[in-house]
Amino acid sequence: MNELFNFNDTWIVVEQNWWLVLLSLALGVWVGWVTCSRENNPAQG
Amino acid sequence: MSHYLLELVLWMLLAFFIGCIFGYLARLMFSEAKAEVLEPAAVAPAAVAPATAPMAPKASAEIAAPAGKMERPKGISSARGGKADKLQRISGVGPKNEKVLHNLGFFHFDQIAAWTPEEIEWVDDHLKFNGRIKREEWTRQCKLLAAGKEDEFGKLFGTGGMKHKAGQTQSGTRTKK
Repeated sequence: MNELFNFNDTWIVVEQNWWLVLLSLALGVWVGWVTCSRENNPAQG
Repeated sequence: MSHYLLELVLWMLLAFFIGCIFGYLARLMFSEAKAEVLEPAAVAPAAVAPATAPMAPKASAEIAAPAGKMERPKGISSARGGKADKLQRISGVGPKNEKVLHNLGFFHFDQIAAWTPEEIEWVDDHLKFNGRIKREEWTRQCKLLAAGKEDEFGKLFGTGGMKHKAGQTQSGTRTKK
């Protein structure tokens, strides 16, 4: 259990999988963008 | 290995949430900037400042309708006599759209009734209604309402907010088939 919460040198994970993190970031940006446009769409009512 | 995966998933989730916030804020800033560009046209008080009015629709039309035969209808800065018509009576207009119409300078049924097909196109495109204004016959509804033909309006378009229940106005629900 202790090992599960041992996050020392966790930055290595990002360095080794930077493309996956970047992909998640891009996906997040897209989701945020789409969500905002739906909320601001006056055609909803 | 599972620990490694857990860390990776956490980093990905973190990146996703940060991305969501950035995307949301970016869209918000983008739409605000666009609104600021449209703002002078959107509230162009044709009746109050006739000298600037001809410029405003042109600037707006360039942004909203670069190629089509759309034409921005002229709005007014405030309701005549300080009292606006209840635009929610139009079937298809709720509180949100009523506010949008007010922001565009439309407060009275006769204003909407006077829209030309080009002007309808502009409003429809501006509000991204995908043809709703024509489909729901806003101008026809407004002609009836402006002329005070309540019975005919009721027959064709339902109560459209005429009836009140416990002090609450019912927004237009079209009954015509």
